[in-house]
Amino acid sequence: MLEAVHLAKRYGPTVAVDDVSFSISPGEVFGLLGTNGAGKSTTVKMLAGLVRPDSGRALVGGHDVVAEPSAAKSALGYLPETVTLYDRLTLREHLEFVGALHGMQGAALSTRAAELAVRVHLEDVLDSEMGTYSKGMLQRAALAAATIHSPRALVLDEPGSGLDPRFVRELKTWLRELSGSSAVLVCTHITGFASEVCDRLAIIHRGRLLAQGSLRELLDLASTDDLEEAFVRIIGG
Amino acid sequence: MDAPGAGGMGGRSRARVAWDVYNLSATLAARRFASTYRRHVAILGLFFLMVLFTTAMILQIASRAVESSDAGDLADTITPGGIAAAAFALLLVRGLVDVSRGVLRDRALWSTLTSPAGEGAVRSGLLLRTLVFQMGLLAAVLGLVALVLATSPTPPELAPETMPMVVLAGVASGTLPLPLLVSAGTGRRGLATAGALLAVAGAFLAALQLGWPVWAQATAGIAVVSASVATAAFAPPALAEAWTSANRPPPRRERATPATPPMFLPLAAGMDTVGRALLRKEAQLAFPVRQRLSIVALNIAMGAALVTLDRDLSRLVGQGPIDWNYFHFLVTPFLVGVGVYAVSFFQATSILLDGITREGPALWVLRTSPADPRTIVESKVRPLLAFLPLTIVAVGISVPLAGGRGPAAVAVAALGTTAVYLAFAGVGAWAGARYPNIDRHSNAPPDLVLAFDMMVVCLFIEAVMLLPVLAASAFGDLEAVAAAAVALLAGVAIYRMGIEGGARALGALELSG
Repeated sequence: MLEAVHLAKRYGPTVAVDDVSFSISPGEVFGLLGTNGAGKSTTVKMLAGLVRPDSGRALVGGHDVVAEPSAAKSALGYLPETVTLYDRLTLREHLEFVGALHGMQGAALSTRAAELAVRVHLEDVLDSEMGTYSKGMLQRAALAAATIHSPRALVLDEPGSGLDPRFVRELKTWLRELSGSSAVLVCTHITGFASEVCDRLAIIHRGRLLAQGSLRELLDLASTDDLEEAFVRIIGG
Repeated sequence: MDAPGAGGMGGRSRARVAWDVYNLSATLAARRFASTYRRHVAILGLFFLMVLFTTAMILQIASRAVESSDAGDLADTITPGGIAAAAFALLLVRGLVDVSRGVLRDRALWSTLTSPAGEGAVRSGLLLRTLVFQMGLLAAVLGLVALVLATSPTPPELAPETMPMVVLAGVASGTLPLPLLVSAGTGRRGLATAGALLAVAGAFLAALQLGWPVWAQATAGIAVVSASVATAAFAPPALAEAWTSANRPPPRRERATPATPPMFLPLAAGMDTVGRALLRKEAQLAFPVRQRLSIVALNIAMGAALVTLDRDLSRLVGQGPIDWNYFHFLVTPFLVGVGVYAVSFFQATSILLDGITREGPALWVLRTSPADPRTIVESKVRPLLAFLPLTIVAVGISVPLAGGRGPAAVAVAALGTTAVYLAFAGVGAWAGARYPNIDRHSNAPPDLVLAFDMMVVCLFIEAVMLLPVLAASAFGDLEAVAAAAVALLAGVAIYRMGIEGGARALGALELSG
């Protein structure tokens, strides 16, 4: 459902991503762990069609993001690392706009938008322009937009960024619910968040995937019971 | 509280702090400049060629005007003061934009503002940066002018005080923007300071324009520089407040129903759900009431100006209304051509040059959606078609109608206007998607350079499209209408090609930042 096949990307002499492969099935939350600048965001941007791979393939819902962009993106929900939305749209307008881009319309779309606003606790500001939102509110608005079309594949880059502890806790539950029908990729450098929500994890460092497996497998690989310690040992820090 | 610029600098002198601030901000600006132009050598080269050409043209026209015995009034206006006033006005606008974007909207300025450096020293450093870049620009322009003058067979003679006055105008335009904008961004107290600075600047402009003695002009210029420098160095703290004000979130606005203007809804005909959603969003965000009103005002003002000019020029030649088939027929097509060019460029090309750029960092919303790039680009172009009927009526056919010309002339004007408008929209659609200025990673050419290049490209396109129509009109009305219909086909072709080219460029655009 969400697959990276030997993905590689260079920026001039800098190798951002080097031969990264993984596959995520529906019902699974997959965590991509890495230090700052490890290649996490470039990897997810290739999956989201924002960056073209130099080699390899990014598949969403079985469709190649480069060869069949519309089909692949129809199955995709995406949350970027830094959320910027249209300042002059209200959340309702934005959700209905994103839903319409995915072919939704009419009462079903309006109802879904209102439901999601409640889910992310923004129902009181549903008709306010998003230029007035705080960082955490924008993050929640973008999460709602990413899920409005019930995507089969969900790519979330640092989803907990800017959120208060209460919503982070809710987000963990929500991710479990979403993974019931979707393949979910969570990109983060927060090991605590990853160990709580992810079924499988991969560790990326300097563009290369160093290890992947279940939490237990990674802990065993590093001979420790702490993911943070395992992470540091695997990247050789 | 420390006196402005006096204390809290860790024992370092005001001059040293100002120099450090200048050094940092100038280095960053220079790096941004180099990074931008490194990737756009060709477009920059084209820009300089066009500036060279334009400068040569202006100097030629000025030279001829001075030589002409019939152009006494025009020659009188080309004085050292007039040239300095023009330089001051143009550079001041550039300086205000630079300070607004490079200082007041600089998100990283907090690191300087929260340091113990006194604000007077910080402002002085930032003022020095603006001044140095302004003088660099002025030096480049003067270099081009000198080049043109050196290669011109009949260079116009310039009075000896011209260059010193232009340089003084440049210094004034480099020192004024920072204290002016900082003062204006700090409420009533600041507005009084800004008003005082504007009054001094106004006196300088008046001295230049009204031909005061050179010593009076120089005194007024020095007064602008002195007042600006003194305000920057010694006025009470204001920069932090102005910076906060410039970056403050907009006031809360609420609405329960979508605010898509109904005038755009018919343009969604034939579009699917995705296309309609994109068009609604574009109409709402890119054409708020203010923008729509300004377009209507531009068309009406241009139409009125053209009709008046046509009537006056007709009287001037002393033959009553100019007949379409005589030599004087050139006047009306020229006027309409200029009007259509100006309105179509500012209304279609210019808005579309900003089409993808306007998405800004939110472009990821579109690029990760299933909407194909062609639909995205088309949704940005279609709303402009809502204004085409207004442009045809107000700018295209108003002159021939008011001049009592026949139906053929009206038809030619309508077809020609439509052709130019569509072609210019195509140019804007392509260039806007090919060179979007999304963020610092996009390394797009500066908006001004791109706009200037496209202005010349559009001028060339209009000439190629409409000169054959003009030539055909010499053979008769039917031939003129037929040629205008061919021009319309060309316009439609450029429109479609622009959208397709823009879609290809948007599809290839990477958002790595």
